[in-house]
Amino acid sequence: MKRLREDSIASLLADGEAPPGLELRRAEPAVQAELAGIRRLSRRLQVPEDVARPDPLFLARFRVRRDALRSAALSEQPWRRMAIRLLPLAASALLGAALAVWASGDRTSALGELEMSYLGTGVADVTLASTIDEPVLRIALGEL
Amino acid sequence: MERAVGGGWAGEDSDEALVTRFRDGEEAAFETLVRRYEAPLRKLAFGYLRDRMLAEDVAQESLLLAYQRIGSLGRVEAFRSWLYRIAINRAHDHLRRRARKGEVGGEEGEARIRQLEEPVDAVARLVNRDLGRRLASALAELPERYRRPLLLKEIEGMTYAEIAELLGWPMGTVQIRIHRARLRLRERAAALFGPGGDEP
Repeated sequence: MKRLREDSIASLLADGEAPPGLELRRAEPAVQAELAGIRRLSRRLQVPEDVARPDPLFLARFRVRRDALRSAALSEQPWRRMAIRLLPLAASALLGAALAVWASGDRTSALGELEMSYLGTGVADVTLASTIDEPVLRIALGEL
Repeated sequence: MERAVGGGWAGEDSDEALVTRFRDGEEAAFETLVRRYEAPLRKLAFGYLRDRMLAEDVAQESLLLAYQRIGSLGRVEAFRSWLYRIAINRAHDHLRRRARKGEVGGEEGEARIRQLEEPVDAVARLVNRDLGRRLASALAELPERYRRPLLLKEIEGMTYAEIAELLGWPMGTVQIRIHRARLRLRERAAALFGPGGDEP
């Protein structure tokens, strides 16, 4: 142990942890005063007797809480098991859907925009002349 | 039951044997541990919180957590240290929650119980309650690194070696922190309890 601080000697003595050589210093007035201070503090920190006494009803209360925990755990078990199994499936389905939307949107957007600009509200308004101007439209609609 | 040197239990009733039996499915073995540790845990929690109801709650919660998580306990010999650490953490959580709410300690439930207790004299009762609150406040202001070893020493009566093992600190650190905790508390006591503050 490192060199002891003078004022910590009283703590070691009060706790009964002082090495044998230090016991001789117990009689010194300064150490005595420190020891008295520590004892007063210890008395203040002590817990009331009833708190320290075993409580015969503690175990009964423990059983009630333990059983409540157990039944809560049991009732949620099937749901948890199902959720754990379904979670990867749900995640991969979501991922697949997102990929499909991304891929389909990317490939058809140009043609889709062109079709929309010609077809407007869904009524075919395309003449042979317009397919000559727009070869893409001719491919999309087939040879008119 | 045979109590071993150093506060442990020996033979069939040792903590290790009971934990092993509980893990093997003997429910009653854990109930023996509950009976064994309820009072020490309540005492320790009371040391932190100075409130009977919260102390009871901390003891219950700690044993329930131990019951649920006994599978995560590595060495069965470490059960006692593990359980105390759970209780210390729970008590510390309550203390932090209370500090956030701005309470200084000694809650309504505590006050109600105190009304039923001695001393019967109302003035003495008020003085007692006030002293309890001031002590709780002084303890709450202490850094956790000082409070923890001090309460294990003062309330549980553990040796420096036991505290060092439980907290995973070197012995010298335990000794110095207990000493510093006392110095700080005595200073606070002088400020809180007035002139001659650390007088009984």
